[in-house]
Amino acid sequence: MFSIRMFFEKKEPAIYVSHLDLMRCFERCIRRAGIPLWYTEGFNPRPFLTFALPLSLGITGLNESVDLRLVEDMPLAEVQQRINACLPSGLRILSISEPVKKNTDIAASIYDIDLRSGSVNADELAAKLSGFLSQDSIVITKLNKKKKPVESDLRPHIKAFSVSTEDGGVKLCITLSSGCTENCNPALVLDTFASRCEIGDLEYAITRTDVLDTNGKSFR
Amino acid sequence: MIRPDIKKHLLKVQKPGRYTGGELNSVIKNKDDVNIRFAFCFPDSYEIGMSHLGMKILYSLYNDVPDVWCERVFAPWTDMEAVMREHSIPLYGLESGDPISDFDFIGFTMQYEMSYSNVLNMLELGGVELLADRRANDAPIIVCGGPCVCNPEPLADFVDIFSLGEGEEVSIEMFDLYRRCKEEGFDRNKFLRMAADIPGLYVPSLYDVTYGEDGTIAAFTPRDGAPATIRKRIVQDFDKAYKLDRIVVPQIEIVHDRVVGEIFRGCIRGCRFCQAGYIYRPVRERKPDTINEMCRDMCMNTGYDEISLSSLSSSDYTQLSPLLDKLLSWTEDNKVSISLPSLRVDGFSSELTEKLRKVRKGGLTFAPEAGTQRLRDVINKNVTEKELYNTCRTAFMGGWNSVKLYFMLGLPTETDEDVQGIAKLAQMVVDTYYENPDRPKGKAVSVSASASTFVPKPFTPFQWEPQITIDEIHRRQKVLQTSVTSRKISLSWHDANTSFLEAVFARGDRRLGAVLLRAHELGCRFDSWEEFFDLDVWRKAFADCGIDPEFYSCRARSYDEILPWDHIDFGVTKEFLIREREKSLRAETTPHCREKCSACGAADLTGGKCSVLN
Repeated sequence: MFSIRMFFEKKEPAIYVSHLDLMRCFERCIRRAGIPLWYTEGFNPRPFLTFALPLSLGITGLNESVDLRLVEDMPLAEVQQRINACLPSGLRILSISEPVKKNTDIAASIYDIDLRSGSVNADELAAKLSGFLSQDSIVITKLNKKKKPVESDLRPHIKAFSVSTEDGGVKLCITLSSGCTENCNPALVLDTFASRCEIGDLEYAITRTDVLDTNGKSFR
Repeated sequence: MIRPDIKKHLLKVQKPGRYTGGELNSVIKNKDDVNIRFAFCFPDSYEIGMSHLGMKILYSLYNDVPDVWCERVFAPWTDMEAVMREHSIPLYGLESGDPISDFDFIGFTMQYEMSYSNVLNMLELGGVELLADRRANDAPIIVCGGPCVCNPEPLADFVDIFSLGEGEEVSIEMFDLYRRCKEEGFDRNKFLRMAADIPGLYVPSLYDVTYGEDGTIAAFTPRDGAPATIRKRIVQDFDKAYKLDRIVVPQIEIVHDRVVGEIFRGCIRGCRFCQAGYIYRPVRERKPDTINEMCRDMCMNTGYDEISLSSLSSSDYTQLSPLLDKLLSWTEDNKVSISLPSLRVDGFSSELTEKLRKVRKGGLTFAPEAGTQRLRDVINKNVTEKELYNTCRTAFMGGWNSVKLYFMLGLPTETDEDVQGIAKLAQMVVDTYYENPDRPKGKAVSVSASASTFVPKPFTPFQWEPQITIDEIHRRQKVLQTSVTSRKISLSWHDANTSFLEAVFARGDRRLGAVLLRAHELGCRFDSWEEFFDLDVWRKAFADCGIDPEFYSCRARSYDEILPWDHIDFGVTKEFLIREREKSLRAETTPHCREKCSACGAADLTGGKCSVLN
């Protein structure tokens, strides 16, 4: 059995495919491609596919990863070429390699976000955003699994950010904690910003450009 | 292609994957290279419509014609509809993103009466004139097909052409005519008149209907030399019929998310309540090799890992065992599972279970339809309690521990004793489970009994029968509920109000067009969805139009009444249906087609030679 890690991009129109549907989509594509995939050995054999970090619906991903296991050896270049021939538009395998780090080593993600508002001009929006993100704490109330409200601070999850203006819009580059222990959804940060700063018509497009391990290096 | 104007709204609606298009195997053509653009609409949500086999067949068949581009269109869910109305986004084809008003044809497949209001809503969202007689010369031609159009009359005001029966051949003939008419300078009325001469196409505007004082039809008169009766079309040699080798693979999970292998059309049984059992006659089988090849191609081209063998009664397929052997020869290694819906109680053998056990275990569903032998004889459901017992025993020994049973309430001649019989039969199944000494320890049996309400349908021996009233449906549901005593049995039923409206439209006439239009104005849509269906709104629509719905649902018809679908010919003759009705009243059964031919008349569709008897 061989474990391999595939790095792929998820762009339009595939950004409208949810994580669960993405798993089904990969399963079928890999079957179509005739890749000798390893199946789980339970009552209900399933192809073994593990996505390192689910991507929320609507977010573009430029360096996502999925692990799979093959039952027989196949040149990685051939695996890549075969699967790419079967993927629907918006999905593409960029590279395949042997896993270096464990999925639990994922610590953070970098997002590029384009923001726009019809009511607030770009400079003002950038200023408000910088001010919002520079606060010492951003406490929000979330519902926990038992539907009880709990307070949580977003600020510790924000590892780094930079705000700039371009083409009449605002560009935010932000590093947020990611992974199985601590995870922060960029949409939550933006929605909190929009409601605290009362920008009712805030529009944004999010791209996850990279995923980082505990050493701050690209996850491999 | 995603329309640019919907992009910014997509993340605000549920399941945006319904609206993006771009699925694997969807067909993109250059619109400058095509002469005919066809918007194939399914008047329900994406997940329902994408599961429909007929649409998959016709989508591929149309797109195989080089100058035809067929696109898919579904009813947008209410959240998306609100967005589209607010931002003036017209209903569009998923492949091109172009508004359906730009197409040459807009086709709807009518699978159930409760989707009628969605047809009007979709036309309106597409910016298409609702009433056929007001459409401009260059407006799209609205075509409707599917089982419901065996009584097309309630939709006659809105539809230009009805396609009766199987669409594989007749659509191509219609395209040929359209092409010729376009070359000569398109004249809508001339095209429609010429279309009426193509067998299987019915152009309702060429017929006048008058009504007598009692509200029944007095006369039905063709104009302009249009044919007096219109006969449905069928594919003569089903084994050589169009073979699907690929289907569109949705990005989001749909209801039937798998490859479908159609094994035969028609049904030999003749259950008297079942419209499908009559309108799809005669029975025509496909050869195991053909089905095997199709299933294999479709799996390869989609990546699906599940095949469902489809027909009206799978165990009546004469080649079932050879087919399963052929399929299992490659599916096992490829981890592809096979499911076999529509199994008859008497067709379930341990050999069959063994074969199906090799793949993933699905649920077991049987349809005794009625609780007592007398009533099962009335409806010609030739299944005995003993057979159900044996079948369940086999299944339980094969490791199953849940069974679904389908019944109907309100069948002709039904008494409370018959209703209580449903509970008794379900209890018998429960008891059968505990008889098995090898049953898995600690596992309880679960029997779910589902009771729908009988809806009399055209082209069945019960087409003259009244439906019981809503109050009576509720009373019988109560009788059933109180007669179930075991907690191992879970009961469910269809909403009585839905069945009532279904009965009205199933046997309705042209006067219901006004009601449909009014109901649409009042906001009716997605009537097959409990959360949207509101009978009170429909009642208001009926009242506003001065029409009594009970006239259509609860009235017994006489044999000499002109029925709204009498000008439509689906093969089975009225004489046969009357014979069957008379036998049903005497609780006399009719043997299935392979045992003895009952001269239903459908053999006439295949030149007098019925394939069952070959």
